[in-house]
Amino acid sequence: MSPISSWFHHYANPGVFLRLVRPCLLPLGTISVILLMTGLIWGLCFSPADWQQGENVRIMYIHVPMAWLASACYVALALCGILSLVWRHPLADRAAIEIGPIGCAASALCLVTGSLWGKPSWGTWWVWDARLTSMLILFFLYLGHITVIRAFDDSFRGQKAAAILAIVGIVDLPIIKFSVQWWNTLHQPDSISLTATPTISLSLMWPLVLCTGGFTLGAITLVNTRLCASLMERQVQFFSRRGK
Amino acid sequence: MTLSSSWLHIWGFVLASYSLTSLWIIALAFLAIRRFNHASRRLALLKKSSAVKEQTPS
Repeated sequence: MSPISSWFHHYANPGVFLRLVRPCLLPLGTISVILLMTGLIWGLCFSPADWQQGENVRIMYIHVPMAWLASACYVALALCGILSLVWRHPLADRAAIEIGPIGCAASALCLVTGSLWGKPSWGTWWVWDARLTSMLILFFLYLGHITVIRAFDDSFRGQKAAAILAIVGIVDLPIIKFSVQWWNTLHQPDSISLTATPTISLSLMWPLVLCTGGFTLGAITLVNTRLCASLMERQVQFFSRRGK
Repeated sequence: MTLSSSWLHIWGFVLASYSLTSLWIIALAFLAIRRFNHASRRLALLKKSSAVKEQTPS
């Protein structure tokens, strides 16, 4: 067995995972709360209003991190699907069960806050624009995943079907990302990119970076808390059965 | 920006977004922490009782 493979299998052990992750939950949660409080209070009270959007720009501090989180959670879900189908990783299916609802909540909040931003800015709650529609499809993919993974009496079949759905559904992510370039959409193009200079003012960008970091760390903490709880519930079932 | 959107109107939308998101996050965190504590407590109890059982002479 290669060193990478043995490392991979070592951390696939739920007991090792629990021992490693449990002590990190409190510090991670504390850092995410501090980042979130700073970012949200800065964004709501101290950042300047946009010259064009006015005070409405403050919704961006929630909407953009939620859009990022919804996409990131789906990438994690697809990775779990690959790990489960190819290597039968024992933690991958458990992680997929716990990531789904968090990603679904993020995509729902992205759609709702986008709608609340759209009403005063565009004069409508919703348009069948490529960006909005592809994000709605992502929300339905999450709903499908959550349903399918729990839909079978034989949990293995449910996990396999959900893993396939997660892998196939990843095709929606580049559509979400590039929809504003491929089609003539009402949604504005990206203001922040890895390859280009941001077109957003620094006074607006810093609270956005803090909020994105806070929401991301918060989601990592939430998923790991749920995953640890799920593994402990399994251990409880095992001990209860052994006791009988 | 549409002409109908007044300052108060826009702040209503902003505050609605913030409060809705905060509520969702607090609810998700509360449920996760409650589940974690519950499982952790049950596991500790079971481990303790099985250790007691092993020590008790039959």
